[in-house]
Amino acid sequence: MERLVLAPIDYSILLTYTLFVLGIGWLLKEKTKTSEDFFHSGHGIPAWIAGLAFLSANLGAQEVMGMAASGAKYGLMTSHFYWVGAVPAMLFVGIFMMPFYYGSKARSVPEYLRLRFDEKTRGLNALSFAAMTIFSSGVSLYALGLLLSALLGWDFDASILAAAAIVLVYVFFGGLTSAIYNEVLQFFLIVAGFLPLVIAGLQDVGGWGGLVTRLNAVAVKQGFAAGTYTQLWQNTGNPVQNPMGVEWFGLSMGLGFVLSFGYWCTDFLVVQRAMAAESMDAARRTPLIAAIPKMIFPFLVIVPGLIAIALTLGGDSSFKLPAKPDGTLNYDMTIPMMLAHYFPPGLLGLGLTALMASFMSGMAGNVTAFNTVFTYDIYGAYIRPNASESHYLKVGRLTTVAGIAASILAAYAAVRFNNIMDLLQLVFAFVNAPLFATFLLGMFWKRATGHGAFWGLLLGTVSAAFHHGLTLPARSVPGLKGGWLGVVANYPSEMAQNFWTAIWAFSVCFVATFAISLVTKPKPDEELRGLCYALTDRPKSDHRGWRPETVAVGILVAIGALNVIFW
Amino acid sequence: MALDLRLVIGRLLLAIGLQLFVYGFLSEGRTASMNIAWGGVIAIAGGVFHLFRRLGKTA
Repeated sequence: MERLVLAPIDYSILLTYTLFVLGIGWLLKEKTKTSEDFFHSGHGIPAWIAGLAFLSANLGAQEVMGMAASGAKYGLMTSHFYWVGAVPAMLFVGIFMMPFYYGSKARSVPEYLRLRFDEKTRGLNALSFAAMTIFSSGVSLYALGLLLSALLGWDFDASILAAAAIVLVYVFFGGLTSAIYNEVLQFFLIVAGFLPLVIAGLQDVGGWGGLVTRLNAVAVKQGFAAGTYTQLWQNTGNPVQNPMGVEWFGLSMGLGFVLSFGYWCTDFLVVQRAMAAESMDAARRTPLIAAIPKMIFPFLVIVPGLIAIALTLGGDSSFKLPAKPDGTLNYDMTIPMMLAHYFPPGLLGLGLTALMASFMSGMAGNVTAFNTVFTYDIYGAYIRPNASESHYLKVGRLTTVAGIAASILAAYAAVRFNNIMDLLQLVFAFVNAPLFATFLLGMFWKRATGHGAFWGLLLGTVSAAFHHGLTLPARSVPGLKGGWLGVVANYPSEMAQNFWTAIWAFSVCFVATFAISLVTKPKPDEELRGLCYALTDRPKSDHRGWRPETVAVGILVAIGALNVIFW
Repeated sequence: MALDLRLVIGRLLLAIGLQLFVYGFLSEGRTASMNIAWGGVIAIAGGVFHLFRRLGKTA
């Protein structure tokens, strides 16, 4: 692949952003005096900032580049990850779950589990979450180093050390507030950097109509119906009818229910942003505010993928996606190649800065979630309970240093084991999918017990591993892709296997938690006030602004309309 | 709020937009037109955030 040569203006844009990021950390240093400030932003974040951070915490470069790659590979069906696999869950967490998270005064998701269930359930969740965040942060760092060395020829070690140092400085000094501020900046950089890309690309292919014509030709050439790359549901009656290899039930249930609710409703990385909001009202509005740009983002990150594949396979353009050594297209390079193709010096610097900002804020998000969970749910729970505020602040800062060091080690582990990204995705599916069943029962069924939750979670995760070990996607060999226990069933694609693994894990956890709860002793009602739907007063909006329920209905109508328009 | 984020966003967008705008003026062809157009848009967006700050009472 040909390397890019940056002009001084590109470096200047990158330097401007870096100075702002470090400046924010430095300015917030004076304001971050207590552990409450460091871990929860003093519960003083306005709803619009928390909302954009809530969205941006899931807008790391892996997501941005991954969604564009999926757009090129699967077409507009990738929007299901937004319109089915994110927005409904974001509305649910805002309307129904945030009152428990915020109202219970829990400092983290694992702590909510302790209040609702028991210590062992909290411990299990805290340990698995801490390990996942470090891996995720390390993989983010690894991907950044890989991209910069491949695209710009920068030294891999220097790239990851420099990025880690910048994140360390601003999180160490400013804590969660600093991470949230930088996530919001990253959001605007992504919009400023990608909007010109979409417009330039659409002009090149003859507008939306020209793009659809080219994609229809690509679909027919690949043996699918003409509209396969631009329609959402039309070709989901049978998995062989679409490049994603999924059918409507697996898609709606696996992605639309289990995986998306499992992530948006229980992952502390995103929930932490809403918990830092200035009031209950602001906390409830946070995911709703995030849902609005989330609805529009497919046009910003998926359309470049559509344009890339239309130009590569459906036209006489000079733009071509590079091929991997095995001859297949390297979809992961969609965004970098599009930036290089369409942007002149100056805008190219802005596009690359937006990507780097995504990598760094993705890492910072993981590190802030890790330092909170480690400090409160591992150190404060098992190593040194009841220490002073200042002690926990010191531990939080030291944990930030340790978390970044562990992320660097994880990045180097990723270099040695080239399948670590696949492994990480798998672990996410194993852990997050059953966790949603635990929360659903915990919040909406007061009879659910700690023993039920703990064993349900364990059995759900183990059953997901068994399902994965006994099934194999098409064109894969037994191993990390599945079938490591023997192949009893095949799936048409990896995505179909992931969706059904999640459905399996959720169902087993739900049934096991339910059954075990019935034969074990529940907590008395008075211990569950504020933690369970039936025992909690409905939150009242302060009526100074819009009602969350009204906005949620409006967003649902808009999502429905988008699904109908692109049916 | 510890720091007014509208001010930070406004200044960042203004700093980036103006650099692109000026660079566009010093360039030719497509580099000039794209940088002038988008640099201008980004700088104006930065200005709007400054305006928001002036209009709003608190962050």
